[in-house]
Amino acid sequence: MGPIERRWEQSLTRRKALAGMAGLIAGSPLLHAQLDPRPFSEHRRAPGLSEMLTAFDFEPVMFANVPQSVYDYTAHGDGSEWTLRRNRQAFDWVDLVVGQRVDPSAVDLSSTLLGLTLKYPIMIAPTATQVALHPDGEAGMYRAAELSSNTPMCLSTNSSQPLEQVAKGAQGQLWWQFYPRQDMGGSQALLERAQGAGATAIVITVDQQASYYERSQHDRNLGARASRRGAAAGAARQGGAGRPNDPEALGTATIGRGAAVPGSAGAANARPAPVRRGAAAYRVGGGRLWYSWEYLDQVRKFIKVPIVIKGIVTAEDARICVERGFDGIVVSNHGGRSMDYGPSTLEVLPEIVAAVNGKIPVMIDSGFRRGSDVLKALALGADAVWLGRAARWALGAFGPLGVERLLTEILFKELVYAAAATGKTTLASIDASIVKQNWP
Amino acid sequence: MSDQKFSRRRAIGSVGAIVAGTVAGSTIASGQAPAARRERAPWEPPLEVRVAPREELVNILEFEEEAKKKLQPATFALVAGGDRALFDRITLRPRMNIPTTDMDLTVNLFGEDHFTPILVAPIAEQKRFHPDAELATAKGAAAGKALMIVSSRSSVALSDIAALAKPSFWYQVYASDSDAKTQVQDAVKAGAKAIVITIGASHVANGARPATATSINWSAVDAIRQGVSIPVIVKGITTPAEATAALQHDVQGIIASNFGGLLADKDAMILALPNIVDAVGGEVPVLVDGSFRRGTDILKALAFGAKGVLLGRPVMWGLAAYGDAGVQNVIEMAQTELARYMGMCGKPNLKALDRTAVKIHGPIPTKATTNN
Repeated sequence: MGPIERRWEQSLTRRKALAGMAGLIAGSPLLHAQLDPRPFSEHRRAPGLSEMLTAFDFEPVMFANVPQSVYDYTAHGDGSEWTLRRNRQAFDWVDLVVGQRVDPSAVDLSSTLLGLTLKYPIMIAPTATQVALHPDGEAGMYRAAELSSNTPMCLSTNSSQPLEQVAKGAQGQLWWQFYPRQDMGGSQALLERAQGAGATAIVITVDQQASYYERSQHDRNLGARASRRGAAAGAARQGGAGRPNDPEALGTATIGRGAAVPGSAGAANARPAPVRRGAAAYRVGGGRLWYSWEYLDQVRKFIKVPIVIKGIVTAEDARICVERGFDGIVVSNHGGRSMDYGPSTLEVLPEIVAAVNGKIPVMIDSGFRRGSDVLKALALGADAVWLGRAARWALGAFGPLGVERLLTEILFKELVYAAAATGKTTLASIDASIVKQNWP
Repeated sequence: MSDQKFSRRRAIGSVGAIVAGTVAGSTIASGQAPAARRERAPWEPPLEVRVAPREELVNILEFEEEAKKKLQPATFALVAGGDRALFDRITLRPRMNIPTTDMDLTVNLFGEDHFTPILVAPIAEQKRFHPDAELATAKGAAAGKALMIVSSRSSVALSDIAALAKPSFWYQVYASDSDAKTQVQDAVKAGAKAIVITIGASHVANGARPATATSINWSAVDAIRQGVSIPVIVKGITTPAEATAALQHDVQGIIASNFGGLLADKDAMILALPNIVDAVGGEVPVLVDGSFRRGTDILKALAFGAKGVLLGRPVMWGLAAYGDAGVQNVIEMAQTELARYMGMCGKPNLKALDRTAVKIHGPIPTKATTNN
């Protein structure tokens, strides 16, 4: 073979080049990006209803079922969410003391509470817009709780279904929650309508005067920023999404009309600032800052049924509720959504129970997830525990069946077993002797 | 063979284009040494090296991340961090059904009304953080309606700062500075409404942190303030004993401070504050600084009896990331958060705010918050 032929043999041909390229591509990350890194057999499956063994198990299922904004609305708290976390932490400061064990079947925790008949001292707290969690909404929650699980419910003023619709078949066990409204005529109309539809008690929520779901707003801003980046880079910035400091743009991030406008448009804002007085001067909306005991005295004229004040976390305010003749209190920080760096509800329960001194029932919510949590509150003097997020997760995960399972298969059993382990068979016998308190 | 059909030439051509794209993302193929920030491939999202839109930050702490993007690591380290652990030992006690629509957070300090009790702490050489330096801080503070305490180690002439620091400003000197007396005289001429004498630490040039002094040099303080007719405040009090000593030297105000814990890993001042306020007994106003980041932090200090709270590092975060608009934004965020929590605690003004609004959990730490 001559030199010319050898050169032809050794030099690169299109065939060799193609073969080389094929090898390069097969090893390149670009190709591997198309391959599923986890074989199908390893993919997680959605757990079934029967696999829900604790209240916590419902949350990831609900998360998968609902849009991010709906999940966020339920999940978040005010400010840095320190109180949201402290609510759960507080249960670690109270230990149950195992006593002379009794047979769980001997445990009977029934009671009556302001006209309600309770099989267990647990109720469903008023939370808004439940149809976002499941199409059956509040009516489904009510059926599952009250009709199937002997668990009375308090309907939220921000219910996605009218009270009359939920109340069909109420059989006398439905409370209704009310936020104070400056318009006395409007207050009267709502309160009379609720009672006319069958509400047997009115719960007036007095907290959340200037709450701000900072983390929700943060998530919303990140989402808006990502969408803007995803949209064409040159698209004009409308300034709609992600402008939380514009009062008109405030959506569900803040409570009340135009509450909490942190920060400012700064030097970029060319409009002359309007002269603002009072809280508005500090960019805080006055939507709920006007609440007063005098208002409650006026509005109680329209209420013929028991009145429960929700959102009390100090002994002083509990004492005022008793002195002013209200019929019950809910110790609540709105699930950590009212005021950041406020106390957990469990840690203020003893001082409030002491201040009330048995004169009116004391209910409690914010952070309850287990039967043992409920038992601790009962030991510290609560008459009933309300469930907010736990019930929402169950409804969002599996609808009314989820709520039924949460109550009848999980929480009631946990509560009964815990009570049996501490040797207590009746509600009246449960007291602080079954707990050890290690407050920080 | 027709042109439309697949040919080896066209195949190599198109494959070559793909590979060229891949190879461009590879520093090895391009012959460069792997850099700290490699080239990003087209499908990877861009690194967040640009600061976020300022309006989208939801709290003061988020400004720190943005400042980090703008500053050299060594410079950022000077203003980074803060220790809020002791704030987590204090819960608030909100009172319901007390109208607070007519909220008024005005505080009167040395005969002057201030919009809120939130002030800008003196920080030296602000050109390190932003080219507009103290001018931007003054502008932002004025727009946010917070009094600025101008550092005697500013990077800009006092007269220029004074022109922007409206309606009034205070001026800070170091007790250990030999020039302090002259600086004070110049500041008074420039219109300063009060003098702040930093004790217990001295400035170290070229960006390093302040150096500790071993004890308070009261004779230096006395010398500096001789003949000064405007109020004199000492900054750097950390114990009740030091506060008592300050009163004996006839100061008109006290700033409880361990310089943000910058000196040597000290706790925030908040839990030491009540005892200091008690020692002062209302004789003079007590202000405080150190790791205040949230409205609840500020409210706690005011509940303990402080008349004002100084923000230091957070203002520099705003400055570094966004200039004067950032300074204004940080100040306004602190004001709005304070107002929110005053509202939720049922306190329409500072007179209504007392220690029943707070609860301390656990023991007051005896570990040194002190500078000495």
